[in-house]
Amino acid sequence: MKKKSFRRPRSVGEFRKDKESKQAADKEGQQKERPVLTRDLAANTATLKARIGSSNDVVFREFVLPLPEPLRAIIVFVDGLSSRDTINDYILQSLTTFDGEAADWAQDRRNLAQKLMDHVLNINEVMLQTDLEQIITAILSGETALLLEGEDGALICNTRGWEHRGIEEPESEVAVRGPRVGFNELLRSNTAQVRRWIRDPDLRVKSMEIGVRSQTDIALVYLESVANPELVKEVVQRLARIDLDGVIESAYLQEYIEDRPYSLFPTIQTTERVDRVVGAVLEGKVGILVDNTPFALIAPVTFWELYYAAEDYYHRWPLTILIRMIRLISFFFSLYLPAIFIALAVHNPELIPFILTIKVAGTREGTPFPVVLETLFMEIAIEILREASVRLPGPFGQTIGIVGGFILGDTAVRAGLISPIMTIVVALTAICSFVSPSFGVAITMRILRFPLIIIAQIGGLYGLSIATIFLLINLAGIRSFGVPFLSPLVPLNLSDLKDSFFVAPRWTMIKRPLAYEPIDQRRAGSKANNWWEAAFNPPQRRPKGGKKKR
Amino acid sequence: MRRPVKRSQKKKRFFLLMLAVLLLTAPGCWRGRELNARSFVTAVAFDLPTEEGADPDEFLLSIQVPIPAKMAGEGGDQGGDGKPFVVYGTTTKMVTTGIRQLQRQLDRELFFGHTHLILFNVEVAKAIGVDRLLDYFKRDYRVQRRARIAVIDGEAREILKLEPPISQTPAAYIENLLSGQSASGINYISDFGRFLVEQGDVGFDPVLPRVSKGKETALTGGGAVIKNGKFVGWLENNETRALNILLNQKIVSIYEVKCPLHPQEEIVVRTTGFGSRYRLNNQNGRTVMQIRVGGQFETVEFTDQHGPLATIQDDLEKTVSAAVRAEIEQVIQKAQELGADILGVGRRLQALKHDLWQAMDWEREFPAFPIEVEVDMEWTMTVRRFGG
Amino acid sequence: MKQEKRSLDARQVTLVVLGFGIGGGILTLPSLAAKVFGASGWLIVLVLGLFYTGGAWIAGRLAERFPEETIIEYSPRLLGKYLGLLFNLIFITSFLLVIPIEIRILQELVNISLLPDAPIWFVSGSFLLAIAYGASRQIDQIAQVNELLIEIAIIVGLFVVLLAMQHFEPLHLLPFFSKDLIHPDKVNELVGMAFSFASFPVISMVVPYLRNPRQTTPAVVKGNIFITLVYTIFTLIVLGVFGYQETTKLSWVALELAKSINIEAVILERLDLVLIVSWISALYTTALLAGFVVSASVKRMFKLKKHAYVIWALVPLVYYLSTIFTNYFVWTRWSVYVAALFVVISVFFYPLLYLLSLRKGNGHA
Repeated sequence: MKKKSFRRPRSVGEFRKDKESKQAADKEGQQKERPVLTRDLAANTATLKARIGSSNDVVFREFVLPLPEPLRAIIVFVDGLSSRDTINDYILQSLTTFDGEAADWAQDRRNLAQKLMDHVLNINEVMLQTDLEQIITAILSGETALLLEGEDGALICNTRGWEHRGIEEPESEVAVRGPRVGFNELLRSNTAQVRRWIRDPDLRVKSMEIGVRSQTDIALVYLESVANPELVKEVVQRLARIDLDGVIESAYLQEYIEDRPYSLFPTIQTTERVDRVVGAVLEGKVGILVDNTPFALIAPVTFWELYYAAEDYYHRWPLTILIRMIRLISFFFSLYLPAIFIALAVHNPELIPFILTIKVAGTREGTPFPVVLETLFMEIAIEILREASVRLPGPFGQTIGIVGGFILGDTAVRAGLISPIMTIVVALTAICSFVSPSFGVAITMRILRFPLIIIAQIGGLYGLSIATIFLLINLAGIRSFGVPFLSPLVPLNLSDLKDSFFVAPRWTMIKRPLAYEPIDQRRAGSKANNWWEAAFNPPQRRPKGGKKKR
Repeated sequence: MRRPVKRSQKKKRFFLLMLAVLLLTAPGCWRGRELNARSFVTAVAFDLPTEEGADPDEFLLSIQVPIPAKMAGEGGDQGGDGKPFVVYGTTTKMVTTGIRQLQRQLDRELFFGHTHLILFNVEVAKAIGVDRLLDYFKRDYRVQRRARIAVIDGEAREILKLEPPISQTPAAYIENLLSGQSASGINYISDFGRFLVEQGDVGFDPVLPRVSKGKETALTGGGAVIKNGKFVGWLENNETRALNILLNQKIVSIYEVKCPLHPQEEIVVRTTGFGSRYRLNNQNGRTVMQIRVGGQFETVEFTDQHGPLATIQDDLEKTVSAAVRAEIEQVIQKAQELGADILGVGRRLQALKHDLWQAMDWEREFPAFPIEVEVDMEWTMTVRRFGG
Repeated sequence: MKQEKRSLDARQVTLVVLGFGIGGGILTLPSLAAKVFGASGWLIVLVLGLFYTGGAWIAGRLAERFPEETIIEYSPRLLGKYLGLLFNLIFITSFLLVIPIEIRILQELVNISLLPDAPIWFVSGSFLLAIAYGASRQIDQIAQVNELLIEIAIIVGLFVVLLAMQHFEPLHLLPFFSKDLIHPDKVNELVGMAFSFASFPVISMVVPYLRNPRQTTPAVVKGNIFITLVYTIFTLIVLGVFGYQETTKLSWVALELAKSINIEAVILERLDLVLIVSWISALYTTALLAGFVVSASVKRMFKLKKHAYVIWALVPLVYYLSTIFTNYFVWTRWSVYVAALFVVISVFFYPLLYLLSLRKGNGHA
């Protein structure tokens, strides 16, 4: 017999056997004793107290209903989750001050809960619940349970109300132009925000609860007449499969439902801005809002969309083209600049213009390290600086940036430890990597830069070509919920290209992105059949003859 | 049962780690080198060997290598004592062997990827031949096809040692001289690539620019005719200018002609917009090459007091045409004397009248081949001032 | 066997034909054309291209008759068991041999310009790994990668070639049709040119993945016409810049063309290295598609589960073959052999198969 010790790692087989036996025991246990509510108030109260009463913030308030024969009742709520005002004004007030003598429904004691619901309780949302687990979940979600003597169920009243942040502009996605609203941690408030933009009855808000212990509310937001039903079904299926202890942030969900769990590239977009989710929903995508976090998920997404910012859509198209070009260039630089420089300097200096070559060689006289080591040291130093400046509060963070970046770098150059050219290259790369609007992709580029630097040292431009080919094969194989990751470039979709690096004016975008296969391909409101027709008819034309309409 | 990592596995992992570290810290793999581990050769020169009793096949190979530290950092305050470059030389029979010999003196690998200038002494070009000496550079992938080649009537090595008036390497200085920037038309603009193409052309003999050493500087102007890879003769400045006109190089040049009204006075005209058209005609059973040159000029300077006048237009045009024509005929005569077809007559024959070409032996036929020239210059008036 | 999804559209098929066709063959094409046809070598390229376009049409129509199957499966039915097996073997072998030749061309290219002295195991090995990695993927992934890479290669290539027009000399293209320059007896060179043209057999393996199989023929014909155009323009410009004599002497024509470009642009002084990087992608697409065809064919012939197994199993063999080609002369000779195989397939077998399929009635409509 093998001795069990907690330090010894167990084999998969053993693990499985343990889990199965535990599950069987659970099932048995559940079937044996499921606590149930009876008609005895005292017994119910005792059951509830046994389950949740040990915490001091669960309040049990007993009172008497003013019926012809006084009836005992008790409300149970969690202090802090439930709004005291609502409970006071709408539950206790109504239940303790109604005229029970005069009411003729009060004479008969049967269905008392229903009658109270119909005639007395003036709260907005009430329902009758008999399952004890559901009642407990409701109490723990901030609702109030009303138990009556002689009823084997409870009335669940919606009294949710707790401290929360207001609507603020998200700090992580600041826009020069555009609405300054972001999500907050309240799911209901978030879904309400989306509804404010889209007043279409086809907008569906579908709720789910995920997380065994956290029972976090999730809401899927999509347009039923636009989003591909296969897509919606897929998202729902993937979410339903999640077996998790607690959902703290939407990132937990993201990791469970994304297509390629091991890939460096994210296939689901996260955003804090409401307008981005609204735009996505209008294009036929599905938005996933998660309670307790302002970060919403958008599925599916293509690689290029990870580089779009919300305010691209709020500027006129020439500016947007320029900005997107700049982002594209900086994406390329942030990935390849140090690697190309090393490849050229070490293996192919004939490609570098002569004066630059001589200058670089001249300033590198006497530096102790080869180019590649210098680059790696500096890249690592910048990563450390970045991390440090995030941790330090307020003004300290900026100081570290100045102290670390400028002084350290300058001094090191003057001391002859590193060459100024490499400093410029590395600094430019770092700046370029900040241009990405999506944090997930920025991290990917930062990670990918290091192997590329090493490959450039070993294999020069050839190694970089092969590495790029590997990268491309990987990217081409990723599908985000069935949509090829590199659309609309490959497979080429001319209609979708109007909203990629080349941006066309808004009135030519008469179709939704076809890559997501929406049911309703045309955006409402355009009279042209094709986008090039629309391009010839920009909106400000005056109608022929006739004055301008007011 | 947990498997402990065996010692051999630990050794393997350690070895792989060390290999990875070594790969990183090694200054480069295969032939990759740090920038400072290379010495860039900016110019190459071929001369006659200075030693007594040297083999007639041998030549003196010199290279110019810039010193990066001096060229890069302090631009303004040059110590004055050090030139920013060094010149090395060795006597050898084959270029590759010579490079190996030179490498022995240097701790950094010689790198020809930035070679901008290849200079030949005229004696070496005559005896050994330009084509034979360029063979190594043709096959080395790194050498740029835009490197400039020139023939020097003097010591090519001296040119390498020149310190140019503005602080840069002599290579850059001469390269700028040899490029079209002076635009006076007396330079033959060519580079390594163009030379190779012209060399490989059937019925065409290439020309290389000529450089001579002045007191402190280098002078460009003129050309060196290369036939079968070897130097056969010089072209003077005006002959080169005429050749440029014939080859349709866009040049701008000046001519001094006699004033039609007053033969003692002179007018300087500025000629532009040359175009040459070639036609092969049959005259009395013989094939004749007729060249029609057209161009425009404007009057720039008068020794006279009268300035541009409408009355002298016809005569002036004739005079200028005659001047241009005289030069062109001079260069044609020179070419036929040297037996080198620098005009491309043979190439046209081969292309347009291929049967005739096959029947001819161009080597013997060219010196006697009839070539007629007609020049027609127009006075396009961009006159700024009448009168003197 | 799971039915694989139809995921390609007509445009991707055209690009597949292009990707396979434009590769290492473009290297030797102008010099071979100059040897055979002198100064008007581009004319023979054009003629050959049109001839192969006709062949492409036949291949497309043949493939459309059997939209559910690849040629490996219906050739034994049409030709009989033994002849069909022979054809399959020739088909697979010719595609298989393309890969080591492309690898060898890449090795030499990289050794000349990018990484002198880099050992074979590094360059060829990493390239072969990339090929195997790519060819083991599904066809839609392969088609996407091919689309990207071949577009880069063609755009950069055409850009460089058009820039080279600055040295274009129309005189070099004359004499047009002179008898002493035309050597139709140089069969070796003629067959060698076919190495660059035989791109349409790819279509026979790709038809089951097309969304709309009816679009096969126009797609293939379009691809072949484009290849013909590209080759003709390229040969024309090479002949115009260098003249036919120099062209026969040059071994790496495209590189010399790029090297001769004079741009006073400071950054891109050396366009030939830019061309090389784009050429690596062209070589890669050719080898990738050849690898896919081989592995898909073997998989279908032996009814294996995944074609990835085949290509990874073939890696050592391909590596060994690529080391056999020791120098320029050896691999050009082998490219003539491979070209001969392709000629046999395209000129002899395809029309035969087509006629037989017409006679035996529709396969699957």
